[in-house]
Amino acid sequence: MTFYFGDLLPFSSQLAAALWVSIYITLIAMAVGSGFGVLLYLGKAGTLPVVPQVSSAYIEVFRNTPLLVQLYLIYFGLPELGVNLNPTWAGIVALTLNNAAYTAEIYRAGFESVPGGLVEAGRALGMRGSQVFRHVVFMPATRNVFPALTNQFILLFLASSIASIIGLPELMNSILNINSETYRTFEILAVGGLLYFVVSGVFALGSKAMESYLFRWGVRSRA
Amino acid sequence: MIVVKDLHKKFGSNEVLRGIDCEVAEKEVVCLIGPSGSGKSTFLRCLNGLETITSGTVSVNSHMVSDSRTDINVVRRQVGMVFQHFNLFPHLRVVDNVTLAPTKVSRVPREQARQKALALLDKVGLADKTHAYPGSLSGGQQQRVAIARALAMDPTVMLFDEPTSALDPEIVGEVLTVMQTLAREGMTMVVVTHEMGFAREVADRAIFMDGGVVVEEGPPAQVFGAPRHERTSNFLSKVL
Repeated sequence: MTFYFGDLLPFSSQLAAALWVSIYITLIAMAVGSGFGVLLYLGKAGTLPVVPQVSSAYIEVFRNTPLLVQLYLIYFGLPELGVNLNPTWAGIVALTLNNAAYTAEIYRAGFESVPGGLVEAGRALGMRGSQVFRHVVFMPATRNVFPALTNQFILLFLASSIASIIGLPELMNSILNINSETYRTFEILAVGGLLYFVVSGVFALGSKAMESYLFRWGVRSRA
Repeated sequence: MIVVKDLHKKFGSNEVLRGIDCEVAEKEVVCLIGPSGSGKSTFLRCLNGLETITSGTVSVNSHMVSDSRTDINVVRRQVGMVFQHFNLFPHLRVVDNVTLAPTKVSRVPREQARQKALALLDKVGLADKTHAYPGSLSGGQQQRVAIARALAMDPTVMLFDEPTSALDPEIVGEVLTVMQTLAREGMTMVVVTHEMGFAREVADRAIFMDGGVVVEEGPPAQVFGAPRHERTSNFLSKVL
């Protein structure tokens, strides 16, 4: 059996463009989703009426249903309600909403691991709850869950391939298109898989570098 | 300056403070002593509202801490607190630990807060550690930073909750020295401590607590030298 990787060369710029789409929808979903996730955690842990129940329900629904179902509902279901999203936006919205539910739980673990004494020290200095959260608790909490957040980020990147199904022009979508044009199934999947692998590895390395810079004040094992 | 009347504190059905009356005058140094579980720390934490008060009244600088309508943050700005486990902010350099509250709570300009922090760190003997992170400091150094952090808010009262209990014996002294200096400068201080030597030497008044009540109080010479209650002498015979 012979492989013809050369047949893929004409598609390299198409693959590069598609890879970039995968990367940026992941970056958007991670950034917006993490912010939303922290808000979900705050809503869940807070004392406002109704908000904790709504936040919990949201987290459970999104964590306990397949991403594919969420994606279909957003892309094919929302138009029934008069909301039409193109594939790219539908994919970004689905990944963001899904990611928020996971990061909310990751951040919950992070905030719960911050020693209560730090909060008390902040309060004893006259800081309001929101100031304690921003200036005292946030960084130690993030440090404690940074590896879990990195993991979530990589999973999200790989899961973004699911959005190929609704025609989002990302890497997997491009791989499938190239396959149907060239019938070089093994070759294109090998190349595509390698691209996912390499980019995930770069994310992991970047995360390590970021971790040692952002958290140079202390290693994880210490309080 | 501090007036406490008939203070009760319950955790669930467990009554930890059973009616405490206490006054602390300006510039007075009061040491709270007693066995663990006697309610000393809980009492201290009621003074700045870290614990909610079940019944009775607490007022500090004529702010009613026990009144839920009081803005507790106004009181806390005037009351410094030092904890057993230091509780420094691990992600901030020493100098930033000290400037955080002044800049965020009191809106002191950054440079002014920094100058003041450097002066305070010099005072507690840590001028060379301003840019270190807390994790790289010894316990005694961390506790001195914590004292500087509390002083940066210009408190009128300082509360110390077993400030040396988590320290190795040979570095207890460096923290006590700083506290002694503060006392000499006229800071009003309430100190929960097991350092009987410090209580005897530095305090104007010693309060012996047991079982959530004040058993006995008076000048340290009297409480330590000629305790009037059996419970006090029993306790002292165990720790001295």
